[in-house]
Amino acid sequence: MSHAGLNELRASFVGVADATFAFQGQLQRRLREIDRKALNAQVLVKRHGKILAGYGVVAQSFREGAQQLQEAAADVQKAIQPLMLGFMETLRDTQQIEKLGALPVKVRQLAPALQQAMRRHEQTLAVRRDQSRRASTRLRQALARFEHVVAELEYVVVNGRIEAALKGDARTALTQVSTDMDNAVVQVRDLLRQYAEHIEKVLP
Amino acid sequence: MKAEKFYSEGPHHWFIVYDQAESRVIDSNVYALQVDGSAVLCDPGGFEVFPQVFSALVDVMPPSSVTAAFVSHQDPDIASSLPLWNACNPNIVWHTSKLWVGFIRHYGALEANIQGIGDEGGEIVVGTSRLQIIPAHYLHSSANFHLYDPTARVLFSGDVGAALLPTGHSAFVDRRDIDTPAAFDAHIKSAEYFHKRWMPSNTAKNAWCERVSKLDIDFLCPQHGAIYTGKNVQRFIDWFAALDVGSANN
Repeated sequence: MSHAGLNELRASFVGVADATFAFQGQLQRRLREIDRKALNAQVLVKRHGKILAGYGVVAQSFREGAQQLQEAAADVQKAIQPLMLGFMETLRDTQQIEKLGALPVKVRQLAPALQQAMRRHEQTLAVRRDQSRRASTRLRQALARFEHVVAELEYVVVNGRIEAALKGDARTALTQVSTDMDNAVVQVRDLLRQYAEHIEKVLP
Repeated sequence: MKAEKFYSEGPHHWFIVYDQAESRVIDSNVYALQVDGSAVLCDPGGFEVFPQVFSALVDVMPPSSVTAAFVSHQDPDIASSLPLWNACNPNIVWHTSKLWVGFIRHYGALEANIQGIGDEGGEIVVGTSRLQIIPAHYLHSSANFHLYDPTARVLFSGDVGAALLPTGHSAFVDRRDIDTPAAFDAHIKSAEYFHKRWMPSNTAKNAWCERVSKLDIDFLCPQHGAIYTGKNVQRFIDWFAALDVGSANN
């Protein structure tokens, strides 16, 4: 990446960090909500006994899906940390290079060690670039896994709606549970997409 | 490094970033106070550990909320990250002794907004909170300040209270059995050499002990080591008052 490119990135660092903070906080809140709704569905099934046995399978899948979402989210968060670190290490190393690069050519010619130092910093920066690329790949993979789990949960939600529609007296309550779950999952999906779009702009 | 919230009441939150992984530079804590969405950093740290500090902070607050930085004195472990923070956010207002303004600009960022504090101290406003800048000259630097938050009863004490602890240390001096001094006594062994050698003046030390004894302090937060809470705060002040400092001349 050129220094001009890095200058542009520098301006984006804080924006990405802010988006990351917001994403992490909102995701935790939404995941807790999904887990609570899945638990509500299980309680509802228990309360109605055998009559809702079919929906019991769906409620159990909600719970398992919520658990898988938590795991996938933990993977995303684990992948974010090294990336943030990489951004900031790049910023620090670029600063070193720019300081030395700003010295007059004559000075640098008279002090060959300065040129060597610059080369060392450039090499460090190249290593960081590779690390950042790997960290980006890990984050993209974690986000893709997360999206896959969300898609599976959406499929369960659709099944839940169908099952709810068939359940006579308990239909209203089950439809409400399914709709709540649907909304919660859609919110997580939207959150994920927004964040992925935001961070994709700066990922190497 | 890890970030941990240690005080929270309504919109008023204190965080510590601690347990540095890089062992070639002295282990330092960075503190952040966030009030109503604005944050001040206390001793934002060194150039080399900036990436770790920043990425730990992202776990607990949006970095754009940092509007101010308090620099207790001029040392590199405290302020050499200045050009990097300034590159991320040139709107941060820096507060340090007016004696050090021209010195810390040597770290870079000539254009940074650095406000000089007079020897008598002053105030920093963060959100709706007013923080008191407490003079702590010659502890250890010739122009030195601490920061007191009367709402949370937090005293950020710079190098006073510092202890040299191994990697993996806790954010707090052990407080599980705070009625007995055992944990404090064990901890303070890691602080003794630092205070004897780095602190140059018994007169300054005694004046500080007298001054801070008048404050209500629940958390005494040094820039190295661990936070003193509850009874350990008074234990520290008493211990420091009795210590003979300036050991290089003895």
